[in-house]
Amino acid sequence: MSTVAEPARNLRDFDPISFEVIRNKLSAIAEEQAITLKSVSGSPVVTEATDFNNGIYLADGSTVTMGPQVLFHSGTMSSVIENVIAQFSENPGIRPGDMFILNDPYRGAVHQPDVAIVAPLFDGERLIAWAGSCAHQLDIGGMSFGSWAVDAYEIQQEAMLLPGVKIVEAGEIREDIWQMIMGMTRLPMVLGLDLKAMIAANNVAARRLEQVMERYGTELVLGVMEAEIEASERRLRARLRQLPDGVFRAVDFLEHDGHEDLLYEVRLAVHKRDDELVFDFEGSSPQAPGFVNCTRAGLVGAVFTALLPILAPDIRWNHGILHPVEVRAPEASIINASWPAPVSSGTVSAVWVATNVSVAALSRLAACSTATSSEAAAITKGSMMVLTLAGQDRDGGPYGTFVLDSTAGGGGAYADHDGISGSGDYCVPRPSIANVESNEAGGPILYLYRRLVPDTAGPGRRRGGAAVGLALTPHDVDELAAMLISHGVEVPNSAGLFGGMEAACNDPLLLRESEGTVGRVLDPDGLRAIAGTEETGPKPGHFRLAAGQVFAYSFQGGGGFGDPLDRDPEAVLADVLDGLVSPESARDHYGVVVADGALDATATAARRAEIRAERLGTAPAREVPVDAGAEGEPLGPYLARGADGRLRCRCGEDLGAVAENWKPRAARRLVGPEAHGRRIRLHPGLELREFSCPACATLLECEVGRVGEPDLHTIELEDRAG
Amino acid sequence: MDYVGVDIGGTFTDIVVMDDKHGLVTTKAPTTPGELERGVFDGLALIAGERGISLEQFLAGVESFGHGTTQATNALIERTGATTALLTTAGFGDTLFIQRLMGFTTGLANDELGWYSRRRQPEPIVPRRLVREIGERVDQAGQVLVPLDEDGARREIEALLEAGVEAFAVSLLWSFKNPGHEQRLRELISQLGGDGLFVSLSSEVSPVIGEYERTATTVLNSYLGPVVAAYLDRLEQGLRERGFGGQFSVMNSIGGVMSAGDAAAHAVLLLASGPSGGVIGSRYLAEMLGHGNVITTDMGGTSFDVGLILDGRPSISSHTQVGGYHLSAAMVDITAIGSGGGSIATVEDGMVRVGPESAGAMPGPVCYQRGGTRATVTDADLVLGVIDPDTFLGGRMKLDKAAAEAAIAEQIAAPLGEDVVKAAAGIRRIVDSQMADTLRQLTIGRGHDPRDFVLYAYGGAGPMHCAGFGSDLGAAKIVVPAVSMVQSAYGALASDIHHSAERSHLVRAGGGPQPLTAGIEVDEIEERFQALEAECLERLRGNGIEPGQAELRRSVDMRYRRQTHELIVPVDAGPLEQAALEALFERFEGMYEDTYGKGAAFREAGIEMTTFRVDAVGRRRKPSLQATAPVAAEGRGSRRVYDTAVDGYADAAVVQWGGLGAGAELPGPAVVEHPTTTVFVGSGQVAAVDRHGNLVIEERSTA
Repeated sequence: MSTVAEPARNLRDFDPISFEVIRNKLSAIAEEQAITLKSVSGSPVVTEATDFNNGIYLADGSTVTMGPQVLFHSGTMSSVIENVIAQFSENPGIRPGDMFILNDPYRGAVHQPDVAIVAPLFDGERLIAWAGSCAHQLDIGGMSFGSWAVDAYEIQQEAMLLPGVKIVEAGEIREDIWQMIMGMTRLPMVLGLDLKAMIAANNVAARRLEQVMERYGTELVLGVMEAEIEASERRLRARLRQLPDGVFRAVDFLEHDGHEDLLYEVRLAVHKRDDELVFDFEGSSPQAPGFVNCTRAGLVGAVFTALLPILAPDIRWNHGILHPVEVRAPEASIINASWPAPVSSGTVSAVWVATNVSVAALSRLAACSTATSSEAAAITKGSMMVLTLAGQDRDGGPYGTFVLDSTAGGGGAYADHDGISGSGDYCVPRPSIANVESNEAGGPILYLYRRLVPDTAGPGRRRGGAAVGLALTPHDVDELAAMLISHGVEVPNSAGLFGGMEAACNDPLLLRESEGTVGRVLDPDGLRAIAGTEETGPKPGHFRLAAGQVFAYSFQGGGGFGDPLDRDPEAVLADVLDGLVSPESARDHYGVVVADGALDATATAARRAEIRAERLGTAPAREVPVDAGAEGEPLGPYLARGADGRLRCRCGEDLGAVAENWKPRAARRLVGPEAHGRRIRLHPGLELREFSCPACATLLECEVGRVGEPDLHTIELEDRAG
Repeated sequence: MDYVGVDIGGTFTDIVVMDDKHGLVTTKAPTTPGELERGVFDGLALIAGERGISLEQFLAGVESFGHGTTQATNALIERTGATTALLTTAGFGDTLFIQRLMGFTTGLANDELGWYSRRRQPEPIVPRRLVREIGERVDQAGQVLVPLDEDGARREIEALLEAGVEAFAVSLLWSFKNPGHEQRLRELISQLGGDGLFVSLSSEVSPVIGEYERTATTVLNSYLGPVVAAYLDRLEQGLRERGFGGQFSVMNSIGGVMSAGDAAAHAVLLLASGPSGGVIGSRYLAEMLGHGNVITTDMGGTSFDVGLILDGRPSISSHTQVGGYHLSAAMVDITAIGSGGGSIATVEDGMVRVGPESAGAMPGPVCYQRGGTRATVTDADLVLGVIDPDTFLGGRMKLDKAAAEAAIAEQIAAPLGEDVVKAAAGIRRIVDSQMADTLRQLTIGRGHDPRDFVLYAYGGAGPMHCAGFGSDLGAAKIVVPAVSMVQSAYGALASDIHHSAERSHLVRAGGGPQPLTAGIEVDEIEERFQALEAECLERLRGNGIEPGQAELRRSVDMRYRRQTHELIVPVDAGPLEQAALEALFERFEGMYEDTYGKGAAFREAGIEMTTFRVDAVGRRRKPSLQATAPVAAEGRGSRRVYDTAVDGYADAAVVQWGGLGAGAELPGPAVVEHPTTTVFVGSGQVAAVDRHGNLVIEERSTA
């Protein structure tokens, strides 16, 4: 039997220097864990996409250190450990040398492929801490390759479910459990290597932590761990107190549940008061019959993923950051599913969209104080496309892969700089994709192109990042079995901020009948121009890709920041010359006229005036310099709260009391998707709204909403008396 | 005859001269930006003057001139290379901009990764407008799927020439499998632009798999080539005009030297020329001292460069990051972290942090009086008495101790409620511990135990801190080389002629129940190595080294199938036969388990050979380091130094390094001073001078 370490140590028992030295050692241990995991793992998901995480945890599961890998896992290792403690402390017991394996999303995992192994650490008989690792697995069984169970209606169909099984007992791998797990996967070699990698990483952490405790004393090290958590909590609370109180809202959508092309929504209101945040997801859609849901563990991961880079980029990432945060979500909803709802694509579906709304709401909060406004960002690549390929390799052996190039979307723009083109996903701090040559060497495929796609970036005063697109065809084999799941084909998830526009949608294309595409198809527009090219829609599921056939997709770019008419025409020209923005988009979205590789200043001024008049239905009454800001406490770049509690545009226009929604006072119009980009599509259930200042025509906000639904009150500041 | 080694750094030009008569002489002259060769001549004139001869007389007696240069690195950092165009396969023109998504995280420490708003991509070396896509396609087997569109290529080349392009890089998919299209494009460039244009082909510069890194390497080679060629020409001409008749060679990044002509054609190989000189100097020293495994640490004002020597060979990495780009050229594996004397200490919310922000050399630490206002590591060293304000750099640079104290008192001590000495000691403890943590990660990450290593400490700040981080790391022994202040120049002097050739080619073996080497044609492998050897010997011959004098080393990159990380496995000298092949595979599995732990090997997956490589070394005659004659210890004094190991002040002996003879022993706490550096020996440690004049520091209990 184990006992849990006593908490509540006096923080002033140790000096700040020892604290810093030991704290650094704990971070170094997490890094050594990561090095071990990456080295032993053979999976590109781990080595290239860094879809893993590891760390050290307190006896109760609170996160002390975590690696900078996929952020979705950041909150969930704690819930994994809490579940193991709650379920298995008595039987089979938690003892020195044991490790537990868990992938059940209803018991703490994000989704089934994210397999976690956690190891309790003891000082004699006393449980003092945990080490843990988790990594996304290429296949953990179930009804389809890759364990993305597009056809599932219940979790039992999706994949193996491990509730926290003792896989290592007294330092030895249990052969019976090992063989059972290996028998349920299609890729035992890959899974086996990854499980060994996680076990090795935990062993490294255990050994190193023991050495540090030997040197500095167990109590001191445990004290530092707790103090580290308290310090992060203290710093986040201090930051929150700098920000105004209020409610910050966002909404985003997800199309297709695997069975039917229905529209689901994730709604979020972040209530910020004093030094606390409540994330309330009330109003989100009920759970879907298909695999797009997530459990509470995934939802907490989504919240954490948004919060860390926006409000805590300079704070140590650990459990302390969760303490000021409360997450509320309706039961049996798409972001808090009830058993046995299927959840195997939760990470790339509900969790992703929950991250988008969290980033949007927190960016709105951050933009309301000069202390944090530089961290406010438009959405980075608001979706994920999962493509798996399987079949026979050139040498006749088995081939199966998860094409990870689809992380190469565009980054959201910030107030002071453009988003990154080819940015990777928001949830991955250090992304990478493999070389084309590595992928062609690794399997029987040929790329026709892999490039940045023009007009994928969200227009704005600061442009979003452009996305990558690529086309594949089987090579040296007759055919491959493909499977594609995605969302964001008919929903522009990469929303802009403060008048910045949405980035392109995902664009999956299939060409079944054609000859001689190699060397001829060099970009998505070229492919579209070939007769017979069809759009696959978001979730075609399984399809056959025969030799000569071409599958192509491009990804969502990053949302723009601020009114595109504010953008420096020279910057637009540079984008045109670099091929990131087409001359048509420069004219239609930025109001910049480029002819023969040069700016036409007169035509640009006229075009911009024309667009402003279109927004209002008449010429604007006021004109403001493009670099003008509003006076008072900012609500983003254009609006501010005056001393009289009124909300005003930078041109001086009064937009009402600060606690009221300003949108009814704005010039509102519905526009078609092409008004924001030629690669934007809208699900029939959605509409695109623009809100401009009625006096100066500055574009203040773009909003995607359900047809006919009320406009969202995005920033609702508390009305401070006096 | 004299041997000269020169290393041009940002602040100082280091020169080391060795011959059998005068032993070893070192000097430092200020670097002369814009006209770097002048600093070299100034420094050499100084040495000639000491001998009472003219610069011309001195140069006439120089047999070999080895040069480490940061010229290429500077041109990259300052973006002052040639206007370069890139020709690449149609459909893939953005490869250099997408950077496999790694461009904006390059060089960031783990705790900086989460600050998304600070991410930036590197300033492009080639603007997108100068990248042109050429119709052609070759597949992974080297088979041409789309023939080269020569008309299109001509049009693009002409347009680029018109745009004022000075150098071309050509990098096509799978060109290392079939270089035909790249070679044809070079012909077209010559036809249209003349033979004088600098052209690099990826199939020659870096014939290895991975188009992003290969393209970056090729582009950098063209970008830097013209600049490096011009500079080396000027320097060599200058030397020859002044009477130099010996061999002129340039330190490269793989740990050898090349002729000026080879260096200009392979300019990208000079990108780590300076730091690799330090590692190579260490390697040569390690050979003399019989140290197999060495961690080399070069701690300067802004950075901490770490290298490894394993079994007498410098650790080589096939992937390097420079200036925001990733290269596939094999280079001495040097990891730079942002800890140095200039690292800034801060207190936030009652917690102390040191670095990664640095005051650098300008404005530098507060005590330098160059405008720095924020407390740094060097300021802490000064407050604690580790360095003496009057004797720092031989008294050439006066330090303001009061200002350092005031800065630490105000910025660190006051917010912590500590006294200034405790605060300074804290800064020192934290930075020493951070460096030890980094060294541990680097050794463990390569599968080694840091306790099996000897630690070499050099660079301006290294010897002041090695007692602390070496002891924290648990290194067996610490050596401060006699040439520690000019380690890189020494490397340029001591290294051999080195060429390497490599080629990617995927060979799969074994898998499932099959024997490990099943599916391999041993003769074909032998042929590959022979071709690479011929290439190396040819280049050595160009340096006047006959095949008989050359040492050839074969290696191959191997991995388990599906893994992305390879190990570089040494291959015994040929000819390769079945038994040797099997031994090679066993060696790989052994290395793998050594690196990743017992039981990690995964032979069921099968094993792949990916890149074949030959390193060729032409040995050069070198003078040996002289044993210094024992001299009575003079200038011995003492001062109060705060030693963090015992958390208190101690009376430390202060001696001049020059006054210590071979065999001298010095128990810590002690300070050994030298005109260009200061060595601190901690309480509980003892320093001894070996017969070559190096300081060897060990824990007293094990001494």
